[in-house]
Amino acid sequence: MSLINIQNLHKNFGDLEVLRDINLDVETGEVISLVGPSGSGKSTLLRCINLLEIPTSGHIYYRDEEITHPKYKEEDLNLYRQKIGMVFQQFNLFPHLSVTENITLSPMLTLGLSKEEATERAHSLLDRVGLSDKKDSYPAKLSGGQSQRVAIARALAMQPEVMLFDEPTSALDPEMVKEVLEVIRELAESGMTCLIVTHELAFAKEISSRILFLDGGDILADQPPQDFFTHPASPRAKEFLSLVF
Amino acid sequence: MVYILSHILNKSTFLVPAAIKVDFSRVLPWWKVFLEGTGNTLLLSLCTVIFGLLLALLLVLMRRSKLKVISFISKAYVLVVRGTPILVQLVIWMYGLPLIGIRFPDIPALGSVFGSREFITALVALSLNSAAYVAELLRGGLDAVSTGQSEAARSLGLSQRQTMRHIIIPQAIPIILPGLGNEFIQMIKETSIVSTVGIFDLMYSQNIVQASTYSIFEPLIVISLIYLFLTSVLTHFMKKLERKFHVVNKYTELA
Ligand SMILES: Nc1ncnc2c1ncn2[C@@H]1O[C@H](COP(=O)(O)OP(=O)(O)OP(=O)(O)O)[C@@H](O)[C@H]1O
Ligand SMILES: [Mg+2]
Repeated sequence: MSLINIQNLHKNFGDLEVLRDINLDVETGEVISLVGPSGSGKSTLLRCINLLEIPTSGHIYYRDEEITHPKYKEEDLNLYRQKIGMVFQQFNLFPHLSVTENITLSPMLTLGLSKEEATERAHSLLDRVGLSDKKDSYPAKLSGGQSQRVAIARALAMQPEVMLFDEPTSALDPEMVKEVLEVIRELAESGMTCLIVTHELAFAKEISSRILFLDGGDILADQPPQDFFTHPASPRAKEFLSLVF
Repeated sequence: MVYILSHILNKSTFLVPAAIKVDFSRVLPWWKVFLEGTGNTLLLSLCTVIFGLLLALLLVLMRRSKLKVISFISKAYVLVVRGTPILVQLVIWMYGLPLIGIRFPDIPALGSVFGSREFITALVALSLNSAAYVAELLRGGLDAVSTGQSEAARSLGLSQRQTMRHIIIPQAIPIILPGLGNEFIQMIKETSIVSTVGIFDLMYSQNIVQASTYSIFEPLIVISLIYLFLTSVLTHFMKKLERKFHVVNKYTELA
């Protein structure tokens, strides 16, 4: 049984076919990087996995339960999303809440943690991402790198089984990229199942168990990094690598 | 050109009675009438904004409905109400609709002014008008909170309702509040049209005093000053409130 199983996934925006017949298995503990040119459908695939985008057709199973089934209810979906953490390019911290409140909000509302429990969890996560001193700050006072680390802590506070990262370092100044990648690396090494859309190919090469290369809505290559970077399975991937690497 | 100008000037001075005397001593004893008119104006404006806000919330919910018909009704309503003069709407409610049997009763329990058919009808007409404007205000405020915010909330497992309540609405309120204050200030002035259908508001108090004292100019000055005072004081308070709620201030200064 795969953790996530995707079958014949299609996604259209109007006439634009963004994903065409995606088939993918993700096992527990895998670290998968999604790479490919802009507009190839990487974000859309990631967003389909936690149903921020509703697939046009196809099936997604999580632990053998079909989350795309028409009978899958809104409440089930909310429970499912609790298990799938997501980190966005633009951080999307809640500006009206302090750093600690950003992290405690969902555990208190959806997991039923008390304020004390949630705060304790938040503070230990902030410690883990190296931001203990920012616990009472508001997001507007944080740098990009700090914001993204808070966003990661916020997702982790739900104790998810999978983490999705959509270009987590693309909006950051170069000097802040490293601090965020370090946090992700640590997470990946701890055994967390991760799907990461990234343009940081060196980083992807280091931490991934698999690299997926998307182009035009298709997965053209699905290889371990050592193979992908030496003999990519598709000429398009080879071209892509020669351009950016 | 100079000739024409001086001609007009001559003519207009000719039209003004030579010995116009501004004399407030005759109208000031009527201060209770002005005061009552002021109270009625404030109450009518406040009720209008409150009922308007409630109706606006309904309109926004309808606008967001998945049922196309419901969403269309809300859209059409806003279009029609904002696209026609408020005086026309008032006259339709007051004199037009009763002809086809739609009329509000007197409610004596609310007193002779507020319980009158005219006052109730005006309140309905004004509230329905205000609702359309406030609905657009609310919609703008909610839309101003980026989709990234609700996506982040949903990705954490929050329900649609929790997302609205804890993420969207708290961020929309500081955006909406100044507009709501302006709507109230606007209404204080706009409600003056109800005097045309005989409702005793601030504007109408001027009619009463004028008829009793034969002073035309002075009562108009008095009510203008009162309107100016009300709107200035409220504008001042709104500015203060706005500063307190302003997004940037709030989110940066507290850090
Ligand atoms: N909500 C939407 N409505 C319409 N078109 C969309 C929408 N979201 C994405 N698209 C289009 O779908 C295509 C794939 O988008 P997607 O964001 O998945 O690409 P991507 O691989 O993540 O690219 P990038 O590297 O630029 O982030 C693009 O052409 C994009 O313009
Ligand atoms: Mg993208």
